[in-house]
Amino acid sequence: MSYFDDASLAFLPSGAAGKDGKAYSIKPTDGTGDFTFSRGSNLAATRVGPGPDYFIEKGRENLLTYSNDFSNSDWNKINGLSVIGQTATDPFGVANNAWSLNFDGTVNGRIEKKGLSVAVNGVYNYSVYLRVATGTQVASIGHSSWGLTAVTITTQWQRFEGFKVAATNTAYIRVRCDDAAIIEVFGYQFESGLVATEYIESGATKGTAGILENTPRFDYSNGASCPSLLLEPSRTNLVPSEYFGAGYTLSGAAIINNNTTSPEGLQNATKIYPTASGNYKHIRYGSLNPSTGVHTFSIFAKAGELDHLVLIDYDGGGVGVDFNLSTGVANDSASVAFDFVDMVDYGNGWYRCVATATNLRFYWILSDNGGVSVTANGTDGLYIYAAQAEANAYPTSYIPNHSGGTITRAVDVISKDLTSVINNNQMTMFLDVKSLEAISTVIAADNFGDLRWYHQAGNRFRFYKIDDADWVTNSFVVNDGDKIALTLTDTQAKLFVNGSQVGTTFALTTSFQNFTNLSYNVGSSKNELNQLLIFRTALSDADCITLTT
Amino acid sequence: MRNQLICWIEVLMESRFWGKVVTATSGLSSKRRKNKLYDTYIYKTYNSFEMKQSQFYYLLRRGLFGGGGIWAKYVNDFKARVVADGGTVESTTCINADVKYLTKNPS
Repeated sequence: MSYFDDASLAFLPSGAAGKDGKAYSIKPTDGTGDFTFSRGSNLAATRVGPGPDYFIEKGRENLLTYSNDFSNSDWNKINGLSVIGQTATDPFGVANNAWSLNFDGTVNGRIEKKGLSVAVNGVYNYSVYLRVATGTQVASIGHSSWGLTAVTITTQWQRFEGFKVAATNTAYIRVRCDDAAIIEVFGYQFESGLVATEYIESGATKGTAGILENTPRFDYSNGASCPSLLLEPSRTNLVPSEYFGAGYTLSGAAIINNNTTSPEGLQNATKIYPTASGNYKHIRYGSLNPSTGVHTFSIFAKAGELDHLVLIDYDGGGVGVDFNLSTGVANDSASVAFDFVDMVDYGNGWYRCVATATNLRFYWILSDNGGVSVTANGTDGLYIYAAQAEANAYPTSYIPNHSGGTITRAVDVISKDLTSVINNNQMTMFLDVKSLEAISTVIAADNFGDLRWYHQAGNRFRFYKIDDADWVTNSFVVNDGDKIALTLTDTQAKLFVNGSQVGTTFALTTSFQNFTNLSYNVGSSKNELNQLLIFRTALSDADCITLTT
Repeated sequence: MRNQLICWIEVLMESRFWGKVVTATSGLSSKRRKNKLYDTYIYKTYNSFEMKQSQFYYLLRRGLFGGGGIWAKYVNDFKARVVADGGTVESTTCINADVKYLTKNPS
């Protein structure tokens, strides 16, 4: 018999099999081993998608209901605007799917969505496809009190868009035309962010796509050809916006929004360049001074004409961490040493520049060669995208924030009642996992003698039996990807890691029994899970060695 | 019954069965030739056991024969179940490799 035949549960994230709220197991085949997946924080999580692009993927929402039903009463027809009907062919060639609107020439004629609640200081993008039958026509889109975006409509379908920082807590999104004209309209979208993303059709409820509230994240970070399930602790991004144009202080520097393609694959990265030669030409967020405690700071950056971005310790007064965007090497020469420094390659010249420090106030400076000075010519600079500051000693995946405040991604947990999978007092549990240090409980198996798998200081793992208050295995240091098999019989426990038994066989005081709920990542650590197998029997030593090799 | 079927497939996979009808497939690429030989021998063998043609092609569609082993059937069935439940399977290549290893080990 094979491992596959013998396993009572086979959870293989390499297939990336999931949906919002669920991660599927290939065994049992009747679905009784499918895990419930929960995170519960909307639009706050991202993953690295599959190759060859490995783009960062977010959750997306079209906040407009009836986004392509302009006859619906959710759309107000004001000042001589009337709907002719859904009579035009849409930009994708579908007949009778775009709408013809008649503007009678009354000033401020418009079709306008009923008021939408938005976050003041949040960043929002509005986009819509427009066309006219002949000639050209000037119109405007967006929300008037934030400033409308003027557009020139032609006989070809164009998707027009704009973004604004919300100045009020209600938005009235519209198409406005002051002339007598018939304008064809398709697919209005209103979403968080700097640029329009792929159109999402909506009906009575908002349209959604991508990484949603409880979508398991099958992640392809570091150029992986096959995904693993990313399970992370709860974190809060203290940086209030992806938009560097509001709330930030620029000293001797300027920015150009949406200047190049970001690691997200969209034209929403920012160019930053010095406006004067000298020292400490920088960008910083005005109130972002987490001056006490341990924080990890990160920003995506790409070389332009300049290729050094330096994270400065504001109080240290000296050079901080020099991120060389040409070589991908970070040089920590701070007067106050950083706890952790890293540059992660995201492809297409982009690096995530990461530094962890204690009691730090910080800012990012532009640099010629890694020092504090830079030479300006009015154009030369580099590219930045998506800053993050989080309270802890290591970085987690990017938490998108367009809110103007903070945003929290809750902990990822998978759980399942496995009564039907484990129904006796023997088992083997196999895990192929990469786990980062976080002192926490990784696995809790209730009523199975209350098995716990603890992640301890020093990046060590150890299994524990709560009802007997026994450590049932030795501890072992977690490396960068480990294969672990724990076998249990009525009388003993054995642990195998990466092809060898770890420690001695442990004599159990009492046997495990009545396995019910298994929860993974309950203690909120960071895991990249490749496989979880459970067998109803204790596999032989030889089989465990083969399985973990 | 299924295990007997798998056993027959394993037997048929052995190299001594290849090459007997090479002339009939000489125009094909090596990969396609191997798959065709594999399918041909399974078909002929099961014909000798009076397997109906419709049964053979049913099993072929189910992924039991042709370009994969029993692991392909497991993955196909898994994908069908997930899709029917409203989910997606993003990477069949990767899960195929995992299931193939788990079905062929320990040897």
